[in-house]
Amino acid sequence: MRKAGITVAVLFAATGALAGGRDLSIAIGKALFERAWVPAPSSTLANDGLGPLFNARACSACHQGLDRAARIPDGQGGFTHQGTVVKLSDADGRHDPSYGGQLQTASIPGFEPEGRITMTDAGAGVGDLSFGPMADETRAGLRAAPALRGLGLLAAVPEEAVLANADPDDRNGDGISGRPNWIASPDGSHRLGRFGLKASGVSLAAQTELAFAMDLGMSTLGQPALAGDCLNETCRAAPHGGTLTEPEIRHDLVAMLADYLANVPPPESMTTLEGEKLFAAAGCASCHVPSLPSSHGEVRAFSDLLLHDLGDSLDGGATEPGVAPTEWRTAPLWGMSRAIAAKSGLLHDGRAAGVAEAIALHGGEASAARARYDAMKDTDRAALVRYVEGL
Amino acid sequence: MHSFRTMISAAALSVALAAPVTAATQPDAVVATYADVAEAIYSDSLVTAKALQKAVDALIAAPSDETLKAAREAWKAARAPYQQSEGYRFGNAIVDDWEGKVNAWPLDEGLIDYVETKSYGETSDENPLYAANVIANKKLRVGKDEIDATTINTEVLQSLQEAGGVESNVATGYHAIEFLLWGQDLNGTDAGAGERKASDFDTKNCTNGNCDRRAQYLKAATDLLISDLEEIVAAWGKDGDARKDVTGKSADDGLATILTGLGSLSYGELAGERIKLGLILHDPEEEHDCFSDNTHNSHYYDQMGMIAIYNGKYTASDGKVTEGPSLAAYAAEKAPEEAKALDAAFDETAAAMKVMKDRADSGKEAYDQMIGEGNAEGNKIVQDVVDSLVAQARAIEAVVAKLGLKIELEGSDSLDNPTAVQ
Repeated sequence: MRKAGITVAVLFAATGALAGGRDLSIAIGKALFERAWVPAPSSTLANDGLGPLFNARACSACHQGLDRAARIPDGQGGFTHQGTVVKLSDADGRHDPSYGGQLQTASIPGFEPEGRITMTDAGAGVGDLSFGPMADETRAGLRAAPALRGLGLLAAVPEEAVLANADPDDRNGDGISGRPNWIASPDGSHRLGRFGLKASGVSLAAQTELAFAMDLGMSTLGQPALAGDCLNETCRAAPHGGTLTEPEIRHDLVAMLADYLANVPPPESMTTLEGEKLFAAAGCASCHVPSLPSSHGEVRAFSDLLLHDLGDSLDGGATEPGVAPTEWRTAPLWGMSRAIAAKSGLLHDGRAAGVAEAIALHGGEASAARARYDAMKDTDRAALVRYVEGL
Repeated sequence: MHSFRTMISAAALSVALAAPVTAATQPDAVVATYADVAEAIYSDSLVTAKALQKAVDALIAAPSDETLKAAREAWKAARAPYQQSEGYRFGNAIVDDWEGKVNAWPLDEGLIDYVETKSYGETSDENPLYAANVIANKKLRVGKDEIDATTINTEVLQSLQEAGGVESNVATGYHAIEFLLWGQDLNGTDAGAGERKASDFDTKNCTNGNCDRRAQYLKAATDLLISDLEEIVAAWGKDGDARKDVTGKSADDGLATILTGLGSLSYGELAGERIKLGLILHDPEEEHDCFSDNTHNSHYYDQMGMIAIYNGKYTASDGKVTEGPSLAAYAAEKAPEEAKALDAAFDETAAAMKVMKDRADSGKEAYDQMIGEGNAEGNKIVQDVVDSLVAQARAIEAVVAKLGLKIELEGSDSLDNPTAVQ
């Protein structure tokens, strides 16, 4: 059997690494990540339930090699690679009443995809809609599939360490007001959101469940809708691979996927001390905090995991409840060198061709830092960009 | 450098044989045996593949139930030695780069021939050639290139292998041949393997069309398997690169290479991806030899091969024995307790595998039925195999630790990656 692209071969010094009671979950999680799921009914219950609407059949279809993928137009307004979706919501994060929270561009036999992604000079949009027009209030937001490396370390940052950087009312008057995104649990308690562009994911398992629902149309314990993000009658009447009590994807499978992702090491960076000083001097490091502590040592993600308003030029269209369309979780910058090498484009939708272009789009709370960057002498700006490119 | 090391290992060997006083097993000699056993296993694979080639020629010359059955038996016989070679993966770069040509799996069989679209489907997001059916189509488009398949020969097959960068475009190797000999297994987790008829190769009374091209494909795939196996036999031969690679390593690195292969195959590959995954999904498509229902043998001979590699002793299909100073002997001297535990672990896995193999061989239940949903008894038998393989990996790990080596295992948690350690 040929190994697929990603190899999780990790060095261990043989003192009981296998004896941790988590036997095989990583190996199987990886296989599940690469698995193409099938529609119900199929010969096996544990295996079916794709769709009826979906964006991809496998996690790895969009998250190829766990990195952001190249952004290559297909000549018809979309992209050759699948790793792009359109999120749908009004300005307050309410999903479209007909199309839900995401445009599904594929479907199982007998169903029609919701529509297609269109790219024009004016930006991303939707076309060929199957179920009539969207609500007037609905905004479309293009999103590139994120890289998935180092997530286990983000999960390991203690809440207090994130909250230490929060300043929601800007009491220190630096123009930056990072705020945590508290997510209500079904039991009424609140947990710190730390994953996803809007910091709305409380755990890797929850993010995995969301991806199953939105991207693959498969139900899980946390996202029990059998038809995924499809809201119409036809979808509800479709054959499903599960029930409300027994979801299409069992929770042990979700846990193994999350376990696999948690164990993918963070991307390595090559950085220079000179660049790091400039990065701090400009104020980039106020939000792109180079290092957070964790029970497993330093986490050099270059993010404070807090929400910041980046101004109108980074209005992402769709959003999530309680988060403005211009608010974003500080994007971790680790893995930048891999994204640059992959020519994936930067920012949430891949619109920036390079680091300088991405910086130029920073407004809102980042305005002062951007102005300091703009005022630097050419050689310093170039050094700073090189530094970020190397992360 | 190489010849120098060879001299040392040869010298070490003769000392060991001549002077029992210094009977300690030398790492260089262990690694030399490892290479010898590789050469023996791949040579045996080649011999049995040549027998398969003869049977395939006979099938094509006179398609009948008998000649088809003979070809299937020859394929199964050829699989036994090949599977025993899998412990050489994960650590020998030449083997890892090469093995996809002969053993890539899973495959999108619609690339090769007709399929039942009801279960297989007609298209795939991931693979534009999902149902390209080269046997029925003389011209194929791969991206912007056109492949001329007017005659299906080894070059055409090589150009289709992983065409378009899609790994499931498997045009060559054991599993492509297996598909041509058996056809799709449409029985799910019910009894029965693929049921291709000999008339699929009969140009006079052809079923399912294109019998001449199907025969061309089968012939080309078998010929290619032979030349690929010849390549790897040479690589492990006296001056072969694979042999040089491993014997050129330091003593510790050589031993680590052996244990990396055994540990990775036991753990992430066999216990994890090949067996446990199919078991939790109860998915017959997660069968390694899915067309022929030969998966029980595929797993079983993986284990036999690991034992052969560890014990430095391989018995070929014709009875010829290849043996020499072994890792088992070395470990018994340097890590007696751990080695004893590992011997027991190998035995336990072999016993668990045997229960699975016997159940399948007796006709009671094929492997894909054993992993079927609701089959508690069958599931348990397969789970026992998984558990014993994991225990075997742990025992390997203990030997590695005692010998002071460092290895990388496929699909394992890591102490260096502390998020995994709670």
